[in-house]
Amino acid sequence: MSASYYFAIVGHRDNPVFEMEFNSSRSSEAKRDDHKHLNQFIAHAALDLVDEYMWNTNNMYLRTVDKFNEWFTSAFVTASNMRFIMLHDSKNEDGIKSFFHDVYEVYIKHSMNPFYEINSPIKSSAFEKKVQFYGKRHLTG
Amino acid sequence: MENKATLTYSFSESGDENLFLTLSTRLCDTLSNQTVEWRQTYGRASHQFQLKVKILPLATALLERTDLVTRPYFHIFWTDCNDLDQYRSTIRTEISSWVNTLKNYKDTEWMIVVVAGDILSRLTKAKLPIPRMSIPDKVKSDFCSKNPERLHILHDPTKETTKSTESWTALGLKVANQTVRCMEVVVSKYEERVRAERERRNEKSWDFCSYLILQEELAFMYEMLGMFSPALVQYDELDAMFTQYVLNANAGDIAHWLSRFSEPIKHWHSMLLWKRIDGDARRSILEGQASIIDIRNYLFTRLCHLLFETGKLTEITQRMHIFLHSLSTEIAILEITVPSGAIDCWVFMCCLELVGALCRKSQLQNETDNTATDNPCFDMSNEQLVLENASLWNIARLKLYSLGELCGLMPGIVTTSAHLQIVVDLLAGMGEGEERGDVATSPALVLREALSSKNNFQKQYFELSELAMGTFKHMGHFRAVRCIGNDMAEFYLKLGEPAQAENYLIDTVRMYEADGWPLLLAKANKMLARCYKKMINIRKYLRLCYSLMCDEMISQEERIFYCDEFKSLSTDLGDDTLALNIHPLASVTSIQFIPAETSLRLNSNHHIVVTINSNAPKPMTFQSLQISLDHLGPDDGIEPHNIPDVISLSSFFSRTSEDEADVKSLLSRNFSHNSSAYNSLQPFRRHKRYASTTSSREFMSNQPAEINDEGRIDLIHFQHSKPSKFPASISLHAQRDLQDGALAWAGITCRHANDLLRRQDSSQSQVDKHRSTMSVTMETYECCLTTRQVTLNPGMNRVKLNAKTDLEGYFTLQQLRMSLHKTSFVLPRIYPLVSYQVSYLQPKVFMDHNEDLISGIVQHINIAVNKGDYVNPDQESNSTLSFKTPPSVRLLCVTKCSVATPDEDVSEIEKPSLVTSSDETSINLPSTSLHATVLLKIACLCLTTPYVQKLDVRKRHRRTHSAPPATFSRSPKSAPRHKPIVESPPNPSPPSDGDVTDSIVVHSDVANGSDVTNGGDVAITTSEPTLDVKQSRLSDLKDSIKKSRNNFKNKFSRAKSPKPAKPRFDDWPTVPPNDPDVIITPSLRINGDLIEVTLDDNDVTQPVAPSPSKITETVSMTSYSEMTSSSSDDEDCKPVLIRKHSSTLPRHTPSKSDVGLTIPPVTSATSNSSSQITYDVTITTPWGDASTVTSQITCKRPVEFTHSWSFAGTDVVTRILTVVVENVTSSALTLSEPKLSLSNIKDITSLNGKKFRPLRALGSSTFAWKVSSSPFNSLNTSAQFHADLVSRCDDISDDVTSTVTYQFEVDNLRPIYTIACSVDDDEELRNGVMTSLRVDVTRLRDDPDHETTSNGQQLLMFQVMDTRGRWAVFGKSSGILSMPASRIRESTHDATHVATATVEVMPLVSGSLHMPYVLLHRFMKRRSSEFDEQLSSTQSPVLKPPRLRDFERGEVFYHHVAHQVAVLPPQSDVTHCVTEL
Repeated sequence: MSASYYFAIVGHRDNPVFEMEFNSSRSSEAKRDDHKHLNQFIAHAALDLVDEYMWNTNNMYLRTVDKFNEWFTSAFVTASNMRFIMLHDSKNEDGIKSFFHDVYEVYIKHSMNPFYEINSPIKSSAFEKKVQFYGKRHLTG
Repeated sequence: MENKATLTYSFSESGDENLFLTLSTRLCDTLSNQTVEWRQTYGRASHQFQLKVKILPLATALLERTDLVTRPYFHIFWTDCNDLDQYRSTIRTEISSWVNTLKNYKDTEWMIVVVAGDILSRLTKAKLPIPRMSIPDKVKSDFCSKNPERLHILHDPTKETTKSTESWTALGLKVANQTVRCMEVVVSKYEERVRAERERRNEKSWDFCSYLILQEELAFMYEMLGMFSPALVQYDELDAMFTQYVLNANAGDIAHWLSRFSEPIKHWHSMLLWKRIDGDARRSILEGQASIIDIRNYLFTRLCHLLFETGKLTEITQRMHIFLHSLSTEIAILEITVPSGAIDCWVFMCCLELVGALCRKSQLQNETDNTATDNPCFDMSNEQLVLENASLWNIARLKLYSLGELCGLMPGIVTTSAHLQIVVDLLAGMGEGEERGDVATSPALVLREALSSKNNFQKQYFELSELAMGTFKHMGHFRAVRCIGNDMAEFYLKLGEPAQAENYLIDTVRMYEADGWPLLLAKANKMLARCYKKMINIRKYLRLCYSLMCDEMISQEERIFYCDEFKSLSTDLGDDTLALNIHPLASVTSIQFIPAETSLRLNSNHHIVVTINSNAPKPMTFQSLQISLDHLGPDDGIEPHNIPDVISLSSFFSRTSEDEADVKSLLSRNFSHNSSAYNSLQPFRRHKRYASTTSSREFMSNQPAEINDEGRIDLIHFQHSKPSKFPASISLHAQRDLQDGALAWAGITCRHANDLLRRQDSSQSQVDKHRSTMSVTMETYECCLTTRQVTLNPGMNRVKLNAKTDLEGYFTLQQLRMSLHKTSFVLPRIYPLVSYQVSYLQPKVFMDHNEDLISGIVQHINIAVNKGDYVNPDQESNSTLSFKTPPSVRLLCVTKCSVATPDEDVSEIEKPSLVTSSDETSINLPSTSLHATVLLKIACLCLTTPYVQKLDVRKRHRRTHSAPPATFSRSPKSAPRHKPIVESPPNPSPPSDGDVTDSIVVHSDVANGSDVTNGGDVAITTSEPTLDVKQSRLSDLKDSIKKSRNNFKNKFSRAKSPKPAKPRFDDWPTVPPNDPDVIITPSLRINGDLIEVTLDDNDVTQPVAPSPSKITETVSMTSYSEMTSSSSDDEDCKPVLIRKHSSTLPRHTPSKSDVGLTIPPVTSATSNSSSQITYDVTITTPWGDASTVTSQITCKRPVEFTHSWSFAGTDVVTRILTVVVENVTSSALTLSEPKLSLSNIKDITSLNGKKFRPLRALGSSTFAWKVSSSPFNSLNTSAQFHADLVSRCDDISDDVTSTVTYQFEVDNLRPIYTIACSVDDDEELRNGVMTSLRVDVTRLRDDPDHETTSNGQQLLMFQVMDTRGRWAVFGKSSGILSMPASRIRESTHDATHVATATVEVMPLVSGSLHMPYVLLHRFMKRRSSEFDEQLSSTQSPVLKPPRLRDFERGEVFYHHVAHQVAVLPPQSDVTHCVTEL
């Protein structure tokens, strides 16, 4: 079974700031477009639950907040209230947790860039590379 | 069916069974109150619980049970035997066999309870006071010697005594403890066994199912003991183990027992939560026939049950998701063949089962709380649970939906037999829905019904959806609501009820829009578009097509599809129009003025280039592109720059309210520094009132943006898509102290803080965000720029519009729209303000020429025609320029035509032709671009007007002046005075001219007299006797004259001093004679500069002339230097005796000019203003109101004329007329065909040679004619000279000639007198020898200007003089000649009369000498004058000097003018001869 992950950072206005998909090598590329739509759909629908969960705990990592068919939604809320959303079809709590933490660190660094405006889409290849790297290390690797 | 720990009881056969039953029951009760501690192994926490037991009679079957739950752990033997004998006989045996029985089975504890009654003890005491061995002692010694705990004596169990209670408690404690200890041991052992079994899991014989049963026993045990957590752990372990196996299988390590599960699943029963333990499932597991679904079902059921027991409802639902999810995954991993839809069925049922169970639980709770309501879901206290419930419904809904799709139950799908087959198969697999007592409907029944028909399916689906939506909405999870709504909408769409779907879809769209998920938004929009298309709501569909075709999140093919849809449907709007915001389709990035200026001219050709970045998927052609304009006319009075900011802003924003926030936020950012600056400038005025300080001022600029060098203005685009969370405007305020100006406080104010700081969570309804994005407010477009058929290609486009310049005023670009059929794409506001100004320039015609425009020759005038901003409303071609000129101005042709464009680009074009009609000349102007200036060079000829020289001017002076008339041509009297000829030819010369002439006359006259200074009395010999008489008296009068002369001199000098200008001779005669009674003797004295002649008119009895009887006239002979006409008055203050050869003689004296030998000197032309002629030229333009322009052409005369009228030789009849033509221009001229015509003289011989006579610049040329006048001709004649002025023009082949005409009069065709001088002895005239000079004066005709004395005589004074020192005159050099007045007037030619005088002269040099000059003057009686008064007042001898008057030129003819006399040297041997020249 192929593990596929969809990672999104959602900004303060519920707007997507960053998106990335991680697929293990065996995953097929077919129906990718629809796939992306579905990912977004689930991630977006999970925002309600993330908002709900984040008040119930002091942890940044909210674990799995939602399930949709074969999809789990895990979330992570940063101190600045940015929401990291991870869609995954297999359980990998620890991996996701460490992934979140690592990405959080990268995100903080990126947000300290004076040319980056909070809530605006992240278009940094360095950031993407880092996230890709952590995705490989913690999720698909 | 609740599990309880099992105890057994046995009793002695003799005993009362009922009693023991009662006691057992009592023991159960006692035990249930007893708290015992469960000590766990491996350091696990101990567990306190109340042991619940059931006490059963001991049976072998019971003892043989090995499971944990049902096996008996404790055995009790009841006996109430109190008789030793009985004990010994029976009971002992019984107990012994009981113990033995128990001993066969390990892990059991037992106890013997001896019930001791009161009666028994009392009896025993009474009978046997001696203590003896009792029954308990016996029992103890027999059986419990090692373990006395196994014996318990129960006292009075039926009585409520202290002793009884104590013994019961002690019993309970004992039993409980021992039971638990026993259980602990047993469980511990069992756990060991389970562990051992688990260790074996890799063995082939190991089977999960049996292990499950094995380990489940532990769970049962714990559950029985009320230890749910350990029980749960057991299940969790099992669950995890199973999962692990599956995962291992996924990794390739397939356990052998697992292969059993890979068989196709035929049953997909739901889990059954209404039963504590699903016996069937357990049985099938035991039998090894369970499918993976069964196992999972069973495990989850058990988990649920345990969780229900512990009350962890939320954990159930959370686990439920995992459960459902993992099963699907596992089936997939294990590649188990499952009919499609089976899993959905199972999930659906499971969800409903769990929801039902949860509802039941909550109902149970509510019943206990007596708070039952209709809808159980909402009464759940735990919101989380409600939420989970809803999500379960949601899952069920989803599964039902997919089932519906599978089974052909969706609307719009025809149910086929295949579908039915599937339904049948699915239903078969679900199993029968069992009756379950209190539960009304089992999930299986629900599903069965739903799948039975389409209607039921719909009903069920909607029910579920509504439930889920309602719950989510209640919980505020709007995203979930929208998701369901979206599905509902899809369902409604399939159902053919798009109207129902619309709202759901709009909500969805708005949500995604607000959250900014473009991909999702695109999908939602697509669906909404589908909805609108089904609703045939073209307007809305068009809107969506519009936004979709610009959406980059969907594929290019789809975008083109929507683009085509839009194009095809945009015509179908009917009468309606649709205005759309241009934003998604295109963005207008900049506006550029070409050329780069915003001050335009009316009707000028300016362009505005709009740069549009199109996002359309393919090229789109719009019917028109318009930019609406706000027009402020020039009369509106408002300078756009002066409009107060606030006003313009309010109007600005009132039109587009949706832009306001964006604009403001944008501007407040941009102009925040301004605001602070403003406030810092204003503090002193503002801080008096707090209110004014806080009244915030918006700092927005409506100043038009400045264009850059390329004329471009980059527009600012307002984003609509994202609601701004930033404040619209923040005002800065500051207050300063009055005294020192220090900053008192400063702060910021945000007006709409409440709105902005309001919580903006996901539940906030996005009010009309969607609508505002698309809808726009249209301007009127009454005043707009338009271009047609604009095609926008994807990407950057430049659209060129013609700037509207047909109106004057100030234009502000407001809005841009592109029209496609009935739809328009509108850019609601062009910001920053872009404006331009159009000003109107009147058509103008300028005409000018070079400074020296000379009439008579072809010259060029320049005409500059600028149409200005005028546009002929009728037709462009009619642009005829008409010139209305005086007849004397002729426009010949256009020699050059060029067009100058406003940017200084001059190009020559074809020359238009001149069309000349009767009174006007017209030019068809070439059609030129706007604002171009047509420069025309037109050859023009101004005809000269004749120069008229009138004689009457001279005649007027003749009467009033006593100076001798001159015949010198340069004399002003005879010289033609160029009078200005202004327009109309018969223009009388103004009187002032006469004055000017007077002054000139005076100078000349006086100068002429300068030579008469020889002094001395001259004896004049006349032929008349009367003269002789008078002559004799002259000497007597000398003294008196001398005296009076001094007086006169003084007077004259005095008179001059205050008036240094020329003395006005006019004044003198006007003085009336003061003393007419003075009698004087005629006398003449020439002394110095005075000739004083006194005429004694006493003898005259009859005055001939009407003049006063006694006239004394003094003529000043003072010589003045010759002045030019322009001589300054300062120079002639002092009489200067300067001789010039031309002015040494009186005017009538002969000169070379008289014989045509020399050119008389020409007075330099007085180029005063009057020599210029101004013509009015009226130019009629075809444009507008100012159609007629009057311009003036000023021409200078090209030539000036003078003429002279001279005698030729010795002949009186032949004369020479010379006309001197002076070129006063600075260019060379050519004259041809000189002609002279005299009115009544035909005998004219031209002396001019060549036909053409060049005239160099400022040069002159003389034309001469020989005129022979017969004596019968009249004295005066008018002459006219004309010549052709030839001028060449490059553009005209022929020479253009214009006639210059000089009209003048000549008089004195015949002289009055001829003078002939002859010398006596002229053959032997010797130097130094006196001889007599005979002067013969012959009168040829009557002299009408001379007065006649009373004697009928006309007196002439002659004077012989020599100015060169060649002749010496002896005696009197002058004298009076008397001529008889002509008797016969009518025959003037007969009035010949000769008078002769002789003067003694002596030649002083030898050689050929000319005769001395003989001057002839009219001798006239003087009239009274001021001078006379002076004379009379001095009481001097009355000697009135006579008046002398010169003859005019031509009146006296000298016969001897060219004669010379040969004078021999003094020696007598020299012969003399007369040489004729």
